[in-house]
Amino acid sequence: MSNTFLIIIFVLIGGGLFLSFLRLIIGRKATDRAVALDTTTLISTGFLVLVAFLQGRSLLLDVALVYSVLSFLGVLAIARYLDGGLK
Amino acid sequence: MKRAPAVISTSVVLFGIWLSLTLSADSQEIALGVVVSLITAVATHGALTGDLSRLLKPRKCLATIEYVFFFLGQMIKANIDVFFRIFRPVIPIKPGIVKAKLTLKSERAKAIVANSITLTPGTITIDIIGDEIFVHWVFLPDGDVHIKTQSMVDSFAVRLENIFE
Amino acid sequence: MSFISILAHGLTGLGALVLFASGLGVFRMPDVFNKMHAGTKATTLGSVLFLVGLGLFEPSWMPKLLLIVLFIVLTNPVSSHALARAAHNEPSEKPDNLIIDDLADSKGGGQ
Repeated sequence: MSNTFLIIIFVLIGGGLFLSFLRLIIGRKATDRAVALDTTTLISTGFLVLVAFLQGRSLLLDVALVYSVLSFLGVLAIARYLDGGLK
Repeated sequence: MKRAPAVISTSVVLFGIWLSLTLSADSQEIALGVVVSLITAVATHGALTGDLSRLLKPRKCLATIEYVFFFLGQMIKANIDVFFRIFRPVIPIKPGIVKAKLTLKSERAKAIVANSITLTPGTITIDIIGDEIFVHWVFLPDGDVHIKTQSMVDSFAVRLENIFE
Repeated sequence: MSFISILAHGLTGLGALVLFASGLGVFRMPDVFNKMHAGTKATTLGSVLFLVGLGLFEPSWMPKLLLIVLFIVLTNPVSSHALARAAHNEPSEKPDNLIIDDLADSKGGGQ
């Protein structure tokens, strides 16, 4: 991977992460924030795998896998909460 | 023992996941993997995959492969659509929730249809109540929206009927 | 550069671009359901392309990356489905720009 290519990727992913995180902070309604949270966690999973690749540490892949599982469960829990709990 | 095929397919899938997680050919690891995936499959009554052995018939196998490629094509189209919508100065939207009939019987097939519709161009599934599916359009098509939505849902449902029935 | 290397660069770059588009979409779209269009479709394909591209750079990681990809493709629509349902059930969360709303009609008729 050349340096220029790496910078382009970092800018793109960092930009996406920044924008969705901004929406998570300023979001108008609770569900807007939940959608932004879902997007943020998925983009950061990709970011985590990129960091694992750059440092050559395959341990971080397990972290990424567990992170995506936990983010899915978290978003489901938030959705259930907004829906008025388990019925 | 009615659930035996489902339990066996689930444990095979779980063992595949175990192999790709551990990435080792050590005999102890493999033996532990077999035991753990069998226990999990028996404890969940094979609920993860259901009976996969039906898919081994050549006709169903072909139908499954055709569905996967159809789905991938739709997913790429969906992303091109989203991409060109987002970079416009004013985002063109005309949202609406439209209902359609779902003829599929099996719950698993309904779930697959709902997930596929969410990942295809311009539509997400909001809810399924009984045999009615509610689809949100980002830009309602011209003409009769109910007929358009029904034909879009059917394009998935017909392919899935070939696999499930 | 070999063919695999070109493919890996292409997939990774495209994946990063799609992930950026999903962030931008979530930021720009006006209401919950439209945000979900960007937040679900674009992140799913973006992660698939990005992770498979990185897997081509480092082939020994491919099985684990494919597992993450499979998990994302299976669960991402489910979480968006749950959120959409919550957003539609809660009157204060529901956007008011819907032109047709069959779901509200059918709920109103059922009660």
